[in-house]
Amino acid sequence: MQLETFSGGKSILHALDPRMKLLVYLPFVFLTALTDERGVAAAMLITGLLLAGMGRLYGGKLLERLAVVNVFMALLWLTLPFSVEGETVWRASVLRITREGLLLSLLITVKTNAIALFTIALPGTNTIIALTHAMLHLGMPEKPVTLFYFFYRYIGVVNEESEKMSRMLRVRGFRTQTGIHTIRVSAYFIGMLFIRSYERSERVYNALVMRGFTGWFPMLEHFSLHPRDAAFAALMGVVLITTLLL
Amino acid sequence: MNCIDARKLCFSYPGKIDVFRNLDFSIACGEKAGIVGPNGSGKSTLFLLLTGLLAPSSGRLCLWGKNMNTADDFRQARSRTGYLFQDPEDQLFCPTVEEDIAFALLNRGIPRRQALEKVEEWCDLLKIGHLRKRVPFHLSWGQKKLVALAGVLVTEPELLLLDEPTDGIDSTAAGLITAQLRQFPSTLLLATHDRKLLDSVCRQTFLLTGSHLEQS
Repeated sequence: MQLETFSGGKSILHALDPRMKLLVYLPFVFLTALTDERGVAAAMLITGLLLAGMGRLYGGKLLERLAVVNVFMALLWLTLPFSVEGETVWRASVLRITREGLLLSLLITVKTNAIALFTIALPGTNTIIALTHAMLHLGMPEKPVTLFYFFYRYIGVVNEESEKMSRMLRVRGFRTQTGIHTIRVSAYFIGMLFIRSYERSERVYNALVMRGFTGWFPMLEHFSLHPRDAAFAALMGVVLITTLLL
Repeated sequence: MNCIDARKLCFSYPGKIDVFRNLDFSIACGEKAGIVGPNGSGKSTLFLLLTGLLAPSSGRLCLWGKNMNTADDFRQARSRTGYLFQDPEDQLFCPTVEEDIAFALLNRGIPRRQALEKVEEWCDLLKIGHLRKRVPFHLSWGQKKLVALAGVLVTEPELLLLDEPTDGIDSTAAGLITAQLRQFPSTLLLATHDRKLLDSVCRQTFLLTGSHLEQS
């Protein structure tokens, strides 16, 4: 699934305990989001790049994800440098670009990319299932975590039904073309996808009820901390404190 | 005492013809019975009615001598019932195989250590111990069927409802399931097209056809 693009791998980062990765992720994301210091933002971006390297995530998929994030940044660059008050660095007719506008755009871009890298490298290198468990082990409230898992499970149901129907259409010779037939089949596809997903989700719910589900998500222990997890946490702690002190 | 006692049970899906009309049947406690019938005859619907997941239009249903009148009656009955759904993908829900098998036990308040022991026992019996740490959704169809069955049998239900338990699985796994069902000590109701399974597990067979259930 799209949510688990980076979860498969054999790097050190993939082998770390998901709980530790979550614990490291949160302070780094908060610090990055809240800082106004360009130096801190740059340090966070470098840390994010190093983490991506640790996870051996460099490649087309990472660039694709960052490209999506930076599409929004491009919109920002089209407006902020022209709208923030400050020292003019370029002017053409009524348009003027300010130094402060450029620096603010740069700061936001660096922070956004750093957070995207942290998200991909830390929670992103776990399966959703491991992440759900890690959240429960860390004592996060059960209801939102259970809702998060249900969301993932039912998105999976819709996705599976959609794939089955697409395969069925291809096997029966359907090709998308410009015409009323394609529009009609696409409308049937969407309608049937809703109906089939709804009916399947009802069966999933019935199966849960039969096994005594009451809204609480029971769990067996299956995580264990290793020295490498402690070493990683210590290293990231040093990075965080050093960045704050400098 | 009868485990299941249905009298004049009627059911129809909205806008459709009757699935059941005045259905009468009973199953004694400890009995192993099979239900056969053509596709769409209502075998799965009957199981949904017996577990209270669907409500009959009219009629009376008694489980273990108790009238099933309220949602709470059914909730209590469900805690004594195991239901294997036809499609294991509907039934598997948890992150790992062992958690899926332990799910119903933990929901019933069984301590984790005890639940794990039970899981281990049933994994050994159904020869799925090597799958314990795997993600259930990534298994083959036959493996999913065995995991779903383990998740039902682990609770040692007093009434076991099985909807096509050997559908789409190989002969080795079918043999394992048959062996377990033959040893099952409580009431069992089995809907299947697998004549071999019926003959080796069930002492009586019902034929479901034309909204009626007849002993065959």
